[in-house]
Amino acid sequence: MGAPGLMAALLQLDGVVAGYARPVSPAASFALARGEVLGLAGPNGIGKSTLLRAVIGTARVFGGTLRRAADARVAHLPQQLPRPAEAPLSGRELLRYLRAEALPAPASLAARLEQRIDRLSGGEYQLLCLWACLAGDADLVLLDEPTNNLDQDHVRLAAEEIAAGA
Amino acid sequence: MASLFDDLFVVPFFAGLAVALLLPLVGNLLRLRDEWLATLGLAHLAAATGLIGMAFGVPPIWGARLFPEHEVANRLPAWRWHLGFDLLSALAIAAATATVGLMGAFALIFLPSWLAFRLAPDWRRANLLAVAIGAGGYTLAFALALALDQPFAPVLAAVLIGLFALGARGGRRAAGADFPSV
Repeated sequence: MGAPGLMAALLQLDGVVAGYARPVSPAASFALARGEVLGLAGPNGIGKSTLLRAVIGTARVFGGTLRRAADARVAHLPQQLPRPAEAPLSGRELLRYLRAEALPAPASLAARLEQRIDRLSGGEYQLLCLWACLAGDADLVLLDEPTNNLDQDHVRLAAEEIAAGA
Repeated sequence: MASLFDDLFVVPFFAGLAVALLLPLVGNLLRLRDEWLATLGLAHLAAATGLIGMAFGVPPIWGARLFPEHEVANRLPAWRWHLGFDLLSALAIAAATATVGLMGAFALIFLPSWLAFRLAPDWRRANLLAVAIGAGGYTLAFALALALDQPFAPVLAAVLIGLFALGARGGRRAAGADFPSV
């Protein structure tokens, strides 16, 4: 850690243009220090998810510089969660395997933790995976459309937990 | 049944029992990776830290299944455990084929895990159930094959298919409408 006021950035983007076969996102510049929450806003198709994927290394950087703290552990909640059709894994086991058991889960989630993940609703599964990212040991948490499938109460809960997680 | 305790059969029985305890676990992991069909060819045994990790209660294979980009995102050398599991699967199936035959090995990989995935409420009990079905079915088939003087592998396959049918039917009844359509 640096001196007070000069906290080292976990993530720094300077004019980063990301894409796959060709550039997709416009140039983006920002820095993110530990404890900060940053939201990316923009129209559909502008390349927000692509930018996040460039940070985790599954999309290409066409321009600019992208620096990530070398020892930063990353959690990434993708926009579309892969979900096996048949999965004999309870929500509690999922949190244990992802080392996300240290914090007590929100009440509405805790009540469903003994259920198999393939028997959870889409919203319940989204909330479980979101909580796994937030309650885990990651230094840098990247959430792509974290409120997908959530009802209004859970959107509010997700926002509170994201803010508290910072 | 006395022949079951004959020295001639004791060693083969316990060798096969060891296989029957291991293969259902390998089957669960292959099924988790959607690769159980690969066991048919024996050439695509992609799927040891999964099994090793399971022994410690931390199967990285689940993380890789549900968050497939986690390893890339954290620059983890995933090839080590993928290769490890490939090798473990290949060795387990080779040893099993030499012990209980190809038909028996495939039945022990495929059927217990198929039923366990449908019925178990969590991963720990999926592994326990698969091992119980494998070891129980193997023991029953061994006794039946001796008593009826029939070749072992087809009897084992028949017993496991019978157990699967019973278990699947019982599972549907117990779960009713809440049972997932898989």
